[in-house]
Amino acid sequence: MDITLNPADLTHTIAFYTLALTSIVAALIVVTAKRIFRAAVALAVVLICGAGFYILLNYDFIAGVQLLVYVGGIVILIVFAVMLTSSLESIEEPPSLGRKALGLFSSLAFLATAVIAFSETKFPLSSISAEQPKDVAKAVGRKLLDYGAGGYVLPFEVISLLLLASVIGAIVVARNPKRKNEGSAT
Amino acid sequence: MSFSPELHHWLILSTILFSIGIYGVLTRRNAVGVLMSVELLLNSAAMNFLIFNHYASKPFIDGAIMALFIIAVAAAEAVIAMALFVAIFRSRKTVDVTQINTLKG
Amino acid sequence: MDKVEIYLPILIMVAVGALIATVLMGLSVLIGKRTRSKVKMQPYECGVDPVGDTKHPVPVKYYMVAILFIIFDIEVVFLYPWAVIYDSLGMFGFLEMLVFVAILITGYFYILGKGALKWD
Repeated sequence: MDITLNPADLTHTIAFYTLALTSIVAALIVVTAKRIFRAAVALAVVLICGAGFYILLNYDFIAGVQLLVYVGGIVILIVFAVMLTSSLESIEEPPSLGRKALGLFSSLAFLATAVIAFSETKFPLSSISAEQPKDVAKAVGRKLLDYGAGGYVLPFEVISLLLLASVIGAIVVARNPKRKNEGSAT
Repeated sequence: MSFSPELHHWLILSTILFSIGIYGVLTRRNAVGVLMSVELLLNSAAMNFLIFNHYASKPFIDGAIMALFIIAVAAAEAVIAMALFVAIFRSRKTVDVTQINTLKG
Repeated sequence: MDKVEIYLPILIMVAVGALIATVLMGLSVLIGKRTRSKVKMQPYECGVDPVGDTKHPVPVKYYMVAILFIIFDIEVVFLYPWAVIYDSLGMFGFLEMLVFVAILITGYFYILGKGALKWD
């Protein structure tokens, strides 16, 4: 029953609720906006708020990655897709009522199930004295390149294979089959 | 009662974002909109990993590595999705997912 | 807590940026004079009358560059944590990263061979 008035804690709390409200409103815009370009901008807002959450959780490196890859890369790609497939002003037909009802039902059912499930669960919280690694980037690097037990060197190498496959797949799928000069194989 | 965010506040937040994403995936007509909703889902999943890493296994960093992998996979997935949009748009002139309903065209 | 101190400048910058944008745009809405006559909407006297509309799809080649940008963006993300601990890694860490980069470079040469980066 203690209302904490520690200033750092208070800033933390205010930041959390501000970011939470912003990201939920922006996420609603993402799924409901009729103009797809507005949805893309709202998605950028959600992802920037996500970076804010990661900073609040003390994972500064992941927040940087989020900004670099999501906001700087994926959102740009989505904006490109919007420009490629439709004009910026094109208005999407709203979904049919049945679809809306189905979507609303499924998402609310998931929300209710998940909230009930984790309000019933006692999670094994780490002790108060536990210390988070000071430099997240260094800790991530050490774990990522560790080839001993609990290391992630194999997934790390597999990620490069995944990226290679997606590059080749994207080029093969997106290339225009009719234009011969575009794919002059050696 | 304290209002400062605890594990449950964080979990409710990421669950709300996830269910908004589910709604988007089910209702969006434009394939680009569906992709955006999927990005919402992936983002909230990555956030969940970081939340549990912060509150339940503080001295370790595995959750952050999982979040890093999720971000990388999301980028690869976005790249492939875009390639598909280009190909579909070229042959159909639409990316409305309710109109793309034949396997052979 | 030092985190507040570290991110305070960023918050101030965001606030100032938002303030400047809102104030300037708000002022121009409030005190700007607007005329929407037929003459005003015409192109400038030596301008060319527009043909068609602006709803042209963007050519695919821009999109190819965007794809490749994302892929190498991810590579940088994985290079960074390796680079900050490079001193303590030794030979094996170097080889691990060499394999990673070599696989991605294969993709790069594939793209070059396919001519996806050719502009015309």
